[in-house]
Amino acid sequence: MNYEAVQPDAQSRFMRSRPGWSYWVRRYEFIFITLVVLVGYAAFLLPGAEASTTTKWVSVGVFFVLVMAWGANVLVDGEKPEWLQGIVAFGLVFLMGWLFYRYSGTEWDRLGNSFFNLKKMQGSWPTLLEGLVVTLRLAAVSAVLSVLVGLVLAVLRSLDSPTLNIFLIAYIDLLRSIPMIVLMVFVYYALPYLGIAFDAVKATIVSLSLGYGAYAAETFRAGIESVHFGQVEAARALGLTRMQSMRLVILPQAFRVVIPPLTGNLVAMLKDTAVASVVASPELLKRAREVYVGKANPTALVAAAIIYLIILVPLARISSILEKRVSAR
Amino acid sequence: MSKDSSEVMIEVIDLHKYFKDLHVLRGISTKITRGEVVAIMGPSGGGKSTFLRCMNRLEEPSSGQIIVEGTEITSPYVDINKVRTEIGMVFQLFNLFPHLTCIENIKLAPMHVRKVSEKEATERGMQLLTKVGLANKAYSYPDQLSGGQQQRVAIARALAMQPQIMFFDEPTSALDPEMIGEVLDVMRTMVVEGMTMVIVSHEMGFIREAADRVMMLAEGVLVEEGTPSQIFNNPIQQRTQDFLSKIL
Repeated sequence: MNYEAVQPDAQSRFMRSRPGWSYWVRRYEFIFITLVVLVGYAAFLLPGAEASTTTKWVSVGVFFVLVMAWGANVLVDGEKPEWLQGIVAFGLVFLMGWLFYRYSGTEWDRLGNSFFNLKKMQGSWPTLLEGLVVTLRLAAVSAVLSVLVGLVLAVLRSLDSPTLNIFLIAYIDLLRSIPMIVLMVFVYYALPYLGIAFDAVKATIVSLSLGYGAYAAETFRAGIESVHFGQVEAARALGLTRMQSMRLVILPQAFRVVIPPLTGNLVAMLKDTAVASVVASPELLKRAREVYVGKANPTALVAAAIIYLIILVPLARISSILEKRVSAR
Repeated sequence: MSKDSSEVMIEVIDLHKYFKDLHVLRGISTKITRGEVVAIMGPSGGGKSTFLRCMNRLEEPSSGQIIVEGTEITSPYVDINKVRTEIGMVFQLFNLFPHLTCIENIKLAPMHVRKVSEKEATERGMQLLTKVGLANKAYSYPDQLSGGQQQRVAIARALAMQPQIMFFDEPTSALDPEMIGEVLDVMRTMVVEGMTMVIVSHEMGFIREAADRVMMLAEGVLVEEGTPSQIFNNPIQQRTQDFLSKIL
């Protein structure tokens, strides 16, 4: 077989006779020309805001798809410089916002008056602040209690007693399956019939601690199981008792593994404090709803949402950073 | 302490161990006297480690008796933790506590089991680290040490409880060849000091010079025992000859 006869110009039998299509698509000439075409589309083919709905949908829709494809072509290419990809990414986001602003038909004034009306919030900020304090206190107390519940359950679980495990697993699975809102309603409204009455705040703390205690138990169990069995053997061989081995050898090692997911649980729990408004705990969401009803304006709800974000986004970030640190070890 | 002292430290009578249906130890009986250095050899899966671990009940024996210094340790009235303080154990994978520094590893058990004061435990720990040649690593963490260094710290940790007997479960099997020597050197000094030792190992040279007795364990049976020269030069049993021909 004579390869040269088949492909006379190729130096090797792996050569193509011309570059593949992706070579052309990735070239800056191509990207620039298509950008010019898109700008032309925007200048001459995009309809005005008052055009008919069908025209808007078709014309804007096609434009949107083309722009996204153009952007994706730049963004998925690992060899394009980062600054260019950054500009393109921010440009796309800006463009999406602009398209929405121009064509969605939203009445921006009314929206502002209803949801972002700072005048209506005058005098209501202290109420929200009080709610925030209650939320944070609920979360702090429940966090400590749920970690304790989880720790005790996990240590009991590590005893590996089949009978005990039936009860522990039943508790953990049950509490993890019940929606928090159901649990709180049950603790607050149903338990009094059994002679166990809590006020709203205590009912919230009990529900959060028991519910998130079950999650913490699973987290701790995974942490304990992640410690190599040789560690227990070494500890026991030195004459340490089971509980000493747990306290001095296993748990200190398990804690390192467990802290990031536990922080994640804490974030989820802080969010779930909002559920306590159904049992009338005076926490942030409940107080925001009071303001909303009192002023007949939902700005307070938006304010509450923003406050939740300001607290929870950094916490979620911290949890991820901790996670990276542990896995880097 | 002289090696010919005939005080029996451990007596094992007809020891059996099952893992589910697997009959790992099939009736082992032996005596270990004070100051004796016993090497246990045999093919893998033959029950060497299980035998060693039964003697401090890291594995529960299925039947048979284990008598340590006159006490039957399988009895429910025995505080096994007290027995274990008399038996130091060194593992194949060192099993140092990674969250503690070397000196903390060493003083943990004396402080919490023997209730020695922290100052005294630290002093004794530093002496032991000096003895194994690692005094400068006292405040390092185990993962900053080489395998050989970790194993020497593990030996120091076991010695810190001032045990009467030392068990070694393949102490050099997980080490790079150039680190085996440093661990064997430490073990040699313990032999000279008259420590009673039970060693699962295949380091023929070390066993030949240091051991008083070699036990051949295969398929859960004590095939043959005798002095190293008897076993290595004139093995009687076919099973021993097969094994030796494979590892030499």
